[in-house]
Amino acid sequence: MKRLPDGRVIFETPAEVPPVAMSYASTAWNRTGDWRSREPAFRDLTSPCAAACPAGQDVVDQIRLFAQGRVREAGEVILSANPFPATTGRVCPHPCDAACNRGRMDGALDIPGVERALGDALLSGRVELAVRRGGKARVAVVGAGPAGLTAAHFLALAGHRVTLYAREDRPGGLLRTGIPPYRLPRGVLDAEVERALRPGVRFEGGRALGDGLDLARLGGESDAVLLAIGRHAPRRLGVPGEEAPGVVDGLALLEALHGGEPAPAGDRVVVVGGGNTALDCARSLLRRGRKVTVAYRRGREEMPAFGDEVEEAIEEGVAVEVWALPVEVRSRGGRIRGLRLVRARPGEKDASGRARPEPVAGSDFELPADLVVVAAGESLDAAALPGALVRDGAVAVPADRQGAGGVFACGDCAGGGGTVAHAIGAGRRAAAELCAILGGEPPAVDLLAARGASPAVAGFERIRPAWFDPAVPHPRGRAEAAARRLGDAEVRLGYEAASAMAEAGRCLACGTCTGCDNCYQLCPDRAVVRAGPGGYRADTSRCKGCGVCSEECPRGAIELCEVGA
Amino acid sequence: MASDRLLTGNEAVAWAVARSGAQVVAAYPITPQTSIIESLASLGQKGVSRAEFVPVESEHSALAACIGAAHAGARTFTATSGQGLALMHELIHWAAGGRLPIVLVDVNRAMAPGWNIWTDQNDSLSQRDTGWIQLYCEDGQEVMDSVVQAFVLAARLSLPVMVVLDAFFLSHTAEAISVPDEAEIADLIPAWQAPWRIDMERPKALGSLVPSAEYEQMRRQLDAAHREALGAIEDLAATWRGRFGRGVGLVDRYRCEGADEILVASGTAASTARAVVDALRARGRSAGLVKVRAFRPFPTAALREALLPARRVAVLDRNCSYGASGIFFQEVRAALCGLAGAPPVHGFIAGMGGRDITPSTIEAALRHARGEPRPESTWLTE
Amino acid sequence: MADRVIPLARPRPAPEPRLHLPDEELLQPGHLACPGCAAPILLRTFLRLAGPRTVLVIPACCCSVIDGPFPYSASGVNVVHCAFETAAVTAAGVKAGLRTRGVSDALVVAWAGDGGTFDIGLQSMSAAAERNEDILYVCYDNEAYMNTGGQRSSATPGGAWTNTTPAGKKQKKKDLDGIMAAHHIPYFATVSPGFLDDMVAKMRRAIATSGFRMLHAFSPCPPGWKMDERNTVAAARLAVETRVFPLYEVVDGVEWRITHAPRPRPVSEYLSLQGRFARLDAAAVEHVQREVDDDYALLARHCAEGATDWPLSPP
Repeated sequence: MKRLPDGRVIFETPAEVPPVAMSYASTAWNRTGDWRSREPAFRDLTSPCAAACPAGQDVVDQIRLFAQGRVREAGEVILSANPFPATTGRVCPHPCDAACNRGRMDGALDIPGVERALGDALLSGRVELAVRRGGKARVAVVGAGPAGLTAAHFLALAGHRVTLYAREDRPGGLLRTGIPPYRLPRGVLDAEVERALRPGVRFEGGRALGDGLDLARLGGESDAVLLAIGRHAPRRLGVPGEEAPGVVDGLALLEALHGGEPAPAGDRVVVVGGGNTALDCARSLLRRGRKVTVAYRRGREEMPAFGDEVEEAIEEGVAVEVWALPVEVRSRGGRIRGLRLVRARPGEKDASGRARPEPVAGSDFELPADLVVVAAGESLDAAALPGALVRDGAVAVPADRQGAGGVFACGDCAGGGGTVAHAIGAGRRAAAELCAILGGEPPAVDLLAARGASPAVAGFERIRPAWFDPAVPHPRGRAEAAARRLGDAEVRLGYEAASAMAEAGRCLACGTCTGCDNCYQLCPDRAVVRAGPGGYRADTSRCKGCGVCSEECPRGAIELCEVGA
Repeated sequence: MASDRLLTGNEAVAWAVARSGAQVVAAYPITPQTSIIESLASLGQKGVSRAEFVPVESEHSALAACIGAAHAGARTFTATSGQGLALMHELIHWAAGGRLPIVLVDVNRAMAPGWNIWTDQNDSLSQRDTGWIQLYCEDGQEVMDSVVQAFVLAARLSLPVMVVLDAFFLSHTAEAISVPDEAEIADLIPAWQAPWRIDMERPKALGSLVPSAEYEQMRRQLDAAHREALGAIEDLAATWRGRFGRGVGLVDRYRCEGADEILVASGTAASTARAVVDALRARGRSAGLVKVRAFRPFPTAALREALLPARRVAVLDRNCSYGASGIFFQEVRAALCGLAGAPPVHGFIAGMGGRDITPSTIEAALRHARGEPRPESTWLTE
Repeated sequence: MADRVIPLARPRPAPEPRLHLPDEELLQPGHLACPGCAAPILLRTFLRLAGPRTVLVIPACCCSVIDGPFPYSASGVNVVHCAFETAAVTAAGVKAGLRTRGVSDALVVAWAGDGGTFDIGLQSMSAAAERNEDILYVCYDNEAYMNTGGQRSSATPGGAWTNTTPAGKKQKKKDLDGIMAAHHIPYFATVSPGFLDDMVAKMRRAIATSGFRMLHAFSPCPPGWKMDERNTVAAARLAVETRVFPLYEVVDGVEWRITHAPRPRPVSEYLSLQGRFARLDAAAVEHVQREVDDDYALLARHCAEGATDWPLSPP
């Protein structure tokens, strides 16, 4: 009897055949992989939360690291995308948890709650990224809101010499001037801004374009200029009487309040608008003892403000009038008396896809008001910009003005998405673009691609709920409404550390291999082998292409493909 | 020290099994085997037998349990009759093809329908193609010795061995039997060493799917083992004669010197045939007897040597292969076929269903044998 | 002083295996199971728990082919192939034989299909159970005589197509579980590869128990059930979730316990996965649902009447 090198056994003469059937070797030599017409591809997909995140965070990895108690490493991942997690965990509209697959099971993960807890932990643990040498350029960033701050931060991490200019005295942009402290405590904001500047960003406040800052001269002094000036020009109501004193712009109002100035006089306030600015104005004035009504031209569902905000405002006592169009500001004797409005009803859909409000004739009514706040949207303040840089209401730098020594733009001023998360993502991408031109190690732009994940999204159909133990979301909650009205204490409460990690533990890790070993255990042919820590590959000499691994991956990280496709 | 006891054939089986150190016994009762098992149980209770008894629910399961235990390397035994042996048939093939050293005692019983608990040989002979060694016993001492020798042969050759005795005439007839001591035979029964025993340190699969060429080669080896058995059976007979002063091997030749007419018989009928030979010799006829003890392996050479000098041969069958003839007759005739000077062979069927074979039955056979030989057996049905 | 982190290669979360089984693998690849067959999933898992001092006794069934032809064996342990109807009693014989040779720690396992258990092997299994033979009997049930190409067995569910029931089997599936419970064996349990934790706990318990213990394992068969191969484990899961194959254990025939009761799903979700039920119209499906509900209610009654503080099988 001869044993071949591949493991087979042969009997060279009849005399070698044993008297009975008995085995001499295993079947391992038999290449059942030759049977297959399909085979698995072990490839992470993008989780729906990450796909929805305007900042492009690797939500699954940072949450899972946090759930495993590895706060520093979770910090490394989140800070490589988002320098302001304690902030975004509080103020972001969190499209991530709206997309969370667990929402179709026992309840979406409270991703903002976890992010906030992680952000707070990083602050108290004093975790931050270290500077890498390599960059040597001088970069001027104009605008110290979240987009400018993020870009400046990553450029400084790359080693560049960055100067950050702002109209305001202190960095933060709308984070400081627009968002009220009961949504974003000043201590948190200050700590995160300070951390963002620490790699070596020089801040110069009180320098606005056309007022202490000349774009051409800046361009001469720097290897690149990045504009991140946001959208601050207020939209007017466009009704008679709006020139009267007592009609104020919402953003300006917020800036003044947050700068420590007293609120303008007026007990009865009407705020026109339905976005976050309008709600922030309403709730800030409510906390200063005013009686506030918000009037919005469309319905509750169409209000651009975050759903939580509207709910919280109503809880606190803000009145909300919907489908109401302002018609005239009524004054008498130099003082505002009220705002006349007309009821509207939904008409045809406009370009934004929302129904155009059509006035209902004869349905005029008046809201008494001593103060009218206009928070009806903002646009680019292009006054100080050369015309060549502006197109369609946004900064659009022509190609010939980009490149070393040129001008760049990012964030809301360049047509960005309007939230802090959008701004952060835009700032990081701008920093990466600049590093590509100027040198230095850029921040990761696509964090998921950087770890080999495919852009395909792991929707709910890829998830196998039966492999997960049921667990409802850990509750957080809000401060009690009556207490909230009295001051600037945070409205939404955060998780205790243990609850935060437990909630993080509910993450399904959609599309991301977690090394659960299901594919490994269930393969009938032992054709799924371990490859590196937490990863697997198919042994195609054994794989029969059944597809059980792919079907049973709890998180859809295995695709079944035709062989040769 | 051997002891003399008054034992029925069945009780002799039980003593032999106990003395041979059987370790696992699995059996299902059937008349007339039942007292084997009951005696074994009693010997177990007295500590004479140390076998573990598995009270299975059918004969098929009895042999299956033995097959399992034999794979595990234990010395195993079962007993049955008639319907029970037939029920085992699938596994009778299995035990031999698996080259397992199982010992089985068949108390020859007629096959139903109608129900018949008395003796004929159709049950055991229906198993003749399966690869088991078959030893047919004439008397109680031969039963005792054959069962012990069965354990020796089985372990030495890796072949299962069937020891056959007639229902009631032998199973339930008491005789004085010398029962050897365990120590007197322990050195004779080797430990079974075949590499297809279960070895917990070197696991293997036994009995899996086999391609045709290899299967044929394995079966050829089974047949070759039977060739080896011919010599082994004779060796053991010599050992027994030396150690105990008794016993025969493949065949026993009785007063065949110069015999014109030779009877061939097996089982208790051989005993009657001896008496007939003596009576004929006393009347001046030269008659002799060849008792066939080993039917498998078939003792062709021994039979040729014993029968060629005769002028005629009369074979007694207590069995029938319907549509052909008596079975011992077929095989004896085949053994002599084509040999120069071979005597004519006559076949006779008698005693089916336990019908008595008397001296006059046998003398009638010899009368018929004076005529022309017929291709089929003659039924001696008077 | 801030805690500075130097980012090296991007940190990734640590692997989190769900189930911890012994690393040593006994079942080798290269065996002859059809793609997607549940039997090797069951066997592989079982052998990892049972360990090398195991003797498998395999009657005629798919696994007698799957283990591989002479001169090969995939199982990696001692295997005794035996005649179709003799798994239990051959195993009992092996155990007795090893015992008399002084080997007391071998786990002897009868590993049989539904044919060799429900039908032709029922007699020898019943007798072995009645004698409380010290063996572990595992029936991997693919609900037909699959090794011979897919003919009906008494384990085939009512309405199912097989090659000998082209219009759908008339009779209900034989209640083998009730039969084994009535034998009052030390341990009986149903297991499904769709619920690994439950299955592993029960396999461990069965291995550790003495006397006759039995596991009835649900073993979907893609070719025989006319189902995509990838759905083997999903079918095993849906069978439990739709209560067609409830997960429970019975101790000594008197302590009945449902071990896992997921939120129930309509039986149509299970049936629609398999071509062998394609002939069933709405009325037939409703009939199946009623039978499943009635059978489950009866099981629940057994469990309620037998409820005690007996601890659940530990993971």
